[in-house]
Amino acid sequence: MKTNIKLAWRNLWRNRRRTIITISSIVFSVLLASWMRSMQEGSYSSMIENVVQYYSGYLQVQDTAYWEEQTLENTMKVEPEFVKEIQKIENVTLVSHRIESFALAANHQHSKPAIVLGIEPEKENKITNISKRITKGSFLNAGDNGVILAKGLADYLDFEVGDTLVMIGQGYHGISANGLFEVKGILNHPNQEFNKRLVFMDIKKARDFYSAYGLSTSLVIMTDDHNEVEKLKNNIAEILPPGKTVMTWYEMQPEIQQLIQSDRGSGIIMLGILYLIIAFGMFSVVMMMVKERTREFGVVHAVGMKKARLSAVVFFETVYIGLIGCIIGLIASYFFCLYFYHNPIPLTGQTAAATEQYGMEPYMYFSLAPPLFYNQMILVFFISIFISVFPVYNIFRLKITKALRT
Amino acid sequence: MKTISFVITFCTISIVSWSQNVDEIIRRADEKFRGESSKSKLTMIIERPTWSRKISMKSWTLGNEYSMIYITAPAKEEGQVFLKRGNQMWNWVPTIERMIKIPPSMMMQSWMGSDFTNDDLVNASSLVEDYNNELLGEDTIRGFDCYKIKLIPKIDAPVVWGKIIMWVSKEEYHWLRGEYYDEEGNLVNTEIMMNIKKMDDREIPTRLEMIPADEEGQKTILIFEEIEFNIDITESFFSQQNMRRVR
Repeated sequence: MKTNIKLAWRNLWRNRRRTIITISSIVFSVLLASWMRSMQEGSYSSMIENVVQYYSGYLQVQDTAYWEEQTLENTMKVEPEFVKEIQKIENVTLVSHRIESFALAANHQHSKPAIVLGIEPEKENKITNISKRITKGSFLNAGDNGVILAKGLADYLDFEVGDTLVMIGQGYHGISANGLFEVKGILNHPNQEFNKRLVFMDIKKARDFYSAYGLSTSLVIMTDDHNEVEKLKNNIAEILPPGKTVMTWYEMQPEIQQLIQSDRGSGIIMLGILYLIIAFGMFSVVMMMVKERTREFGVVHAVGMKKARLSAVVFFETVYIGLIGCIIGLIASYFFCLYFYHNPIPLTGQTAAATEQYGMEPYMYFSLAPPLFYNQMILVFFISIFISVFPVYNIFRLKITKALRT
Repeated sequence: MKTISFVITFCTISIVSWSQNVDEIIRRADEKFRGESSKSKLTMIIERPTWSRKISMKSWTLGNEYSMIYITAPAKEEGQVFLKRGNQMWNWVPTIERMIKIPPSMMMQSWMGSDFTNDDLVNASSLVEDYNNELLGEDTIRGFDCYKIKLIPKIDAPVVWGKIIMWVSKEEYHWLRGEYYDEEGNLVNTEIMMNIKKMDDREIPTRLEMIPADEEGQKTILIFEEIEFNIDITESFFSQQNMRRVR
């Protein structure tokens, strides 16, 4: 056995060029497959991140009536104990109050309907990292009286930092909600729809504005593991007070998940075709090797090496090639995708416009999730083992007389 | 021949006088409620299944065309002024120092969160001029003998209702109940007037309940606390400049 492995290793480096060609064909296969998967999954997570992180959060606790009719009348009072209990659940990283409603945002001449989002600035920033999006001015602090405007809205109303925003709306129980607010900052929201409409306000100020004292429209819950959302939902449902409900991001935005699922389906078909091409490529290289070495096999067999031993050596060779190719491929594709992860490919022209309309950033993002890489590696490795059946089969069919004459 | 012509004449006269009579009933009921000009203090209570709230206000009116409402409570809405001139409406909001013209698109929206629409406030249509009336018969409401009158809007009239049925007491011409129907004939709102009291120089119902038909447990109550009729007020009082000054 030991000699077999040694022999296989030496055989590999006897014909260096052939080995390197075979290995590089595997490296490029792994690279191509990982790159494609990384791009797919990257765009999904950027999609999810866009909706989850910049808006809905992974989970939300709401009043049971709120989802159907999103008005201030369906807000809820949240006991601090309940928030504490949620925070105790495993994988929960953050629980944040929000109050959301509409108002007319105006300057001295023009007005535009706006979404007013009352937030807990510090926590919200941990969820959305939104303070990084500030282009002018500064982000909110708890207890601030000012507001942050989304850039599209600020441009429409021709506002700069320090100007006074007029807001006219209707608050809780139909009480009029009118007020003047200093523009404290302007931010560029990645979601184009929100970029045209959002006004951020400290939650205290927003509750005051809408006369909804002590009320929230939703509790946003974040987790560090987005595969555990379903489990978290069940955990929260167990401690839910009456009249409240918990929803996951894909219940709130089922269209995103459906889009991802259908795209992933077509991606798998594409991947299947890709693997077929990879498998045939590797097969052709191995076949070439077998044909090239038929004479050698004949000679070795003629001088007394048993067919079983010979095929074991050839099998180990293929496994070596597969293993080396996969490891190099894994490392190469990781660094390759790492580059693209930090430098996403910008989209241009109509594709960019279409992506922006969907409320996403016009970039092709890449994912660095480990399974993407080792899955490709494992798959390609198994393909190489499967292909090694061919030389083994060939050796057992070997006729010395014929082989010696080639 | 003589008898025939007499009968015809009599019939004609009686028909004419009868229809004049219904016009007269409506006019008197309407006028009683509005007066030529008035100044009043009133409270509006908005009732909802789970909550209710109270708004206090002062109001000035001049005929059908002009009115001004000044909100005195709650503190958050104090100082807001609504002005109606003809079929236009403005809102002065002191907290933002803005004059807002209520656009036609917002006319059917709720006024101050109540069951009244902006249109209900502005509505300059005259019950006598914009509607054809018909006496449906007589009825008794809370012990008052009433005329039951059906009002159908005239073709060109700027009216949102398809039909109004009103009950007016025979003796005092108190408007006691109104039912408002849409163009398909479905009941939209019911108005009930009660608590007849002497206000200034006349007796009028001082409590108006507006009950929307399709909303369970909702109503808006308007209670008149003080009214002075035929006060000394001119058209110039109802100006945008004055909106910022009235108290």
